[in-house]
Amino acid sequence: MEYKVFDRTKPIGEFTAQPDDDLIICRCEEITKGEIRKAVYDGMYTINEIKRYLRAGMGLCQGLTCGRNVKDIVARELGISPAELEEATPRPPARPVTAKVYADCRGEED
Amino acid sequence: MSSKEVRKSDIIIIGSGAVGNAAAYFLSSAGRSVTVLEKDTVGNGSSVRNGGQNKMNTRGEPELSLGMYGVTEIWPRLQKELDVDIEFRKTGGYRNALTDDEMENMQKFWPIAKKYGMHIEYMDGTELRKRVPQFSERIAGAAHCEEDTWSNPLKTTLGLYSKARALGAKYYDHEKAVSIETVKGRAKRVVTECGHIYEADKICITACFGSRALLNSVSLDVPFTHALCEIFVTEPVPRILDEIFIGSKGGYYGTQTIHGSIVMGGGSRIGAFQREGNHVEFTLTPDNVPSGIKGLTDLFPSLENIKIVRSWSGWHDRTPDDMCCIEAIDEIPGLYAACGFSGHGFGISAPVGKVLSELMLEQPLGADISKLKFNRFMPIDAFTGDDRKR
Ligand SMILES: Cc1cc2nc3c(=O)[nH]c(=O)nc-3n(C[C@H](O)[C@H](O)[C@H](O)COP(=O)(O)OP(=O)(O)OC[C@H]3O[C@@H](n4cnc5c(N)ncnc54)[C@H](O)[C@@H]3O)c2cc1C
Repeated sequence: MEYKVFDRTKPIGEFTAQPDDDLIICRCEEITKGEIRKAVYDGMYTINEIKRYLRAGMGLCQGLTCGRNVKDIVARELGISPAELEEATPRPPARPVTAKVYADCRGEED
Repeated sequence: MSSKEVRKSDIIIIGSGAVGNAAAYFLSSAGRSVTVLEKDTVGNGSSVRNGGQNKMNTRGEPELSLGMYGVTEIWPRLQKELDVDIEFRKTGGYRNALTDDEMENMQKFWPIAKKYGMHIEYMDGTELRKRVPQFSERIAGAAHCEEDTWSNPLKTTLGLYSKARALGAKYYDHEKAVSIETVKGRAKRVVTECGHIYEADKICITACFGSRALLNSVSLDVPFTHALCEIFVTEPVPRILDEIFIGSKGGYYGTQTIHGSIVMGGGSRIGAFQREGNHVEFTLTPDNVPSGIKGLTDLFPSLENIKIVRSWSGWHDRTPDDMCCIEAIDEIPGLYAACGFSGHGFGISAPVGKVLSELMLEQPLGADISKLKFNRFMPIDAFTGDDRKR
């Protein structure tokens, strides 16, 4: 399915602080709920944009832990359902792989 | 929007990469109304898939004026003006050679670099390893370039978008421009795949490889191939070096980011020969990630056990001379284009965006772009086999 991006020309109002903004959502990169909410008001409307703008989901777990929560927070700010937001593009490897293992599998004859 | 409605603005920019967003930012700052059309979602092209380097030491001479304009003025300015930290740093960079021949070849660049105010220092392998002990014993020597820089491509591309938008630029996702229309010989309208019509007195094409089809719609052409290239990033490790680093023959390029991760990519001979319709997210060229990672362990033997956390790929718009095209198009007043960055456009995206804005605002140009016109590509001289020069 093609996901529609929330209309960027439509005003969504101003960022206002909330009491639980200090809550850490992405534990690998220590990104808070407030930072994610604020990024939405900076114009980051897709999960890929949030990830690229804040590094949320770019740490060792690659978003496996916080992906859902990030989506919920962004959806709430935009007033849409989380189902309307596309997941961040998955990037290989699924789990960190040691360089030596990768380098050894080039299929070369030595 | 109904299909009959026409959206009007002073300027239309096609493509929301770092180049288009930088132009949108400078034009919005100057009070122009700007519309940005993006076929995908904002900033999802090469500009968020690259290594962040500005390898001044490997640019062709026609790009050096732009490069220096970026290093001395425009990148430092963005670092101050944008609302995000784009991590711009004058890191300097090492270009590493494996043989004396490669060393000699690199030294030919010295007089050209000097002409543009660049500072290059050549050293042997022993001196290099005094500075960066982790570099492989196999490196025979290196050229250090003081003007090499780095900035975070994700934060730059999205930070420019965010700021341009805050200044009033209107961004439309999933609006693929399919043709440009002229009125009395001047560029005037952009028609999108959905049938929407946008109108402006100035239209600027910054659509990476998509630029070619748009130029073709007004009977212009610029030759480039459409190559797929990969890149990967490691877990963070203790600091090894601040400088960016590249292989003298372009086999690898990399940086240790301020987070400590190593971002590294490399050249690909296979990437330009993708099958029609291959998708950038799902196609990996067989020569790139594994051989790039092998390159990492060859370059830094002590990093054999470092973990690779992510890899991805992106497209290059590669011209016959590996240099970009940027110009106000003489044949069609009101039409501007910047494309053909050949795999090293991010490093000059900020000054290119600035120069595009200067062209459109009819201001004096901050850099000499006279050798980057796209009519420079000529058939060879059949008799001598040499390139013909205009
Ligand atoms: C793996 C990799 C590593 C790289 N490393 C470096 C590096 O270290 N240093 C460096 O300087 N450069 C590097 N580059 C090159 C650099 O990323 C590009 O040259 C640069 O980002 C080009 O910017 P751009 O704005 O022209 O293109 P893009 O960011 O690709 O933006 C073009 C936009 O136009 C859109 N578009 C296309 N057609 C249409 C249409 N018809 N209508 C509307 N929109 C359209 C696209 O969807 C895209 O969003 C690398 C590239 C790759 C792939």
